Amino acid sequence: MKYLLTSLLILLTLTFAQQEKRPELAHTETVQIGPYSMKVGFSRWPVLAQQSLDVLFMPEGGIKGKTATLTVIDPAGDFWAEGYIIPRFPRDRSIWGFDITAFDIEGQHKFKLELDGPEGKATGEIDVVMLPPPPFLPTLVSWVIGLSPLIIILVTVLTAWFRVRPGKRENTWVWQV
Amino acid sequence: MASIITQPVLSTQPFNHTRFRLLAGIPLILGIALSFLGVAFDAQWHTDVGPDTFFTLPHAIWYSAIATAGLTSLFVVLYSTWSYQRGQSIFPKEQLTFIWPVFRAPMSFVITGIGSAMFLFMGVYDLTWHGTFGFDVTPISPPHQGLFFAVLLNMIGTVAVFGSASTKRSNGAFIGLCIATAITLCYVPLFAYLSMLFPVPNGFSMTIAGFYTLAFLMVSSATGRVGAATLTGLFLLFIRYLAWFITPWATKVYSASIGLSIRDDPSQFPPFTEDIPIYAFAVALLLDALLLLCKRRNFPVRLSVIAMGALTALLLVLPVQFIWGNWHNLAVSTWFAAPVLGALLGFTGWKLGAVLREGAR
Repeated sequence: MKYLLTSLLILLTLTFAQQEKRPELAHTETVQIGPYSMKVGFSRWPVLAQQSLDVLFMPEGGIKGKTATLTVIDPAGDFWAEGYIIPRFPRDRSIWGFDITAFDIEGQHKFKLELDGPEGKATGEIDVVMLPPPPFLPTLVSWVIGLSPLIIILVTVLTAWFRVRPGKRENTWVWQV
Repeated sequence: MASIITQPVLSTQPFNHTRFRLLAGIPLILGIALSFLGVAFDAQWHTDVGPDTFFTLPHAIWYSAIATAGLTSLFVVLYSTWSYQRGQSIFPKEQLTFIWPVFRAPMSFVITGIGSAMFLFMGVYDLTWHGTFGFDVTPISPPHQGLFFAVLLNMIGTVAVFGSASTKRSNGAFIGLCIATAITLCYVPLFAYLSMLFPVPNGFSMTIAGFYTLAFLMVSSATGRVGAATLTGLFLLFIRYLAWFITPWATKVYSASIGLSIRDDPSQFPPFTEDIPIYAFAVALLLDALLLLCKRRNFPVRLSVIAMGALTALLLVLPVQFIWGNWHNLAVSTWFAAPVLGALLGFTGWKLGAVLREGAR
């Protein structure tokens, strides 16, 4: 059974195989973190609030033997991330990064980076300004569209309910079970 | 005499349309079960590996599941219409709903079909959303909730397909209704995420407990049998463990086969699947024992249902809160709110069972 499923998966996989590469960067910034120099790359630039993008972290000399943590403070003063160990980028293991990440609110975000490596621990920071979110339908309208199947469910159930009037039926209130 | 013998016996037997309904329900159950496994796989894929394109295996599974349910209901609607036009309707006339311009079919199949059609629409809506905001993997976005609710139409349609046949006291309808309800319950956590948009203490756990209570009392009342809740709980357990073991394995195999590796920070447990309370089975078992007791002692039905609903919801909310890892976040108000909600939804579920039995078409 397991082999059958595996072969089925592989068969289907051949149809859907799409190996993705590191995204093309729209913008990079260079941050000096003590003795280390690190490039921070963005797959979209400028960064819009609520619009997802890939953010890559590429220290000079590679990531080997180093760890980095990220703290992002948004304009409201809240932590978007707090001391988060940056994982390797899923589609390119030689660098660090986040894929499909988004920042909820517009304004200046402070990126605090801490890097630990052969030359010791150091910190550095950059500011990134997120522009207003891209235009879309008003929030209420987008939710009404999204919840429209629920409206159909409610109408159907209520129609059946009022046709049957279960509360007034005697056999609803006798033990059949 | 001869005319009686040569009459098409099959189309006049009430038993026959029930059997046809149950037969058509099998692919529907396959469809909705696969659609849960598909979405669980998809969630695991996104959190553990996740290049985000439309053409992934989990999406393929999910969409084929929807197609299975959709094509089945399309077939039933067309066949029912055709048989009606020929004057030999496969379903009794009182079960048919007229759908403009010519269709005549049982509403449950129509609803299932509409679910699949809306899923495609929500797919397009989701695409425009992602075109604007980029890809995201949150369950709480309008198009993602739209996709989930479209699947709920599939599921409720399937529940009605079997619920309607439950009047016949057939074992097939009984088992089918319990399976369809169990699969629907697997999907409840996906909508329960919506509760996070509202400042209700323990909203997520309360939503799950409320809907599970409603469903357990609904199947008991619809089938009129002790054991319906237990069987539903058993199927729930089965599907939950199926997803629990299949999705992490499938994610590993699939990612390895296309040369992608698991993230440095993968999910600890299978997403969505971990939200399904396994304790629900034990609560369902207890509920059935209480139902039996109430019946034997001939306690008043209304009062018993309300009491059992309250107890069921309270027993469900505590473990759900515990599983979710924030036991200490259990609000004092929940101890009171859960039984009240359970009494209300349990009572509604009991009546909904009667609606299913008497009115589902």
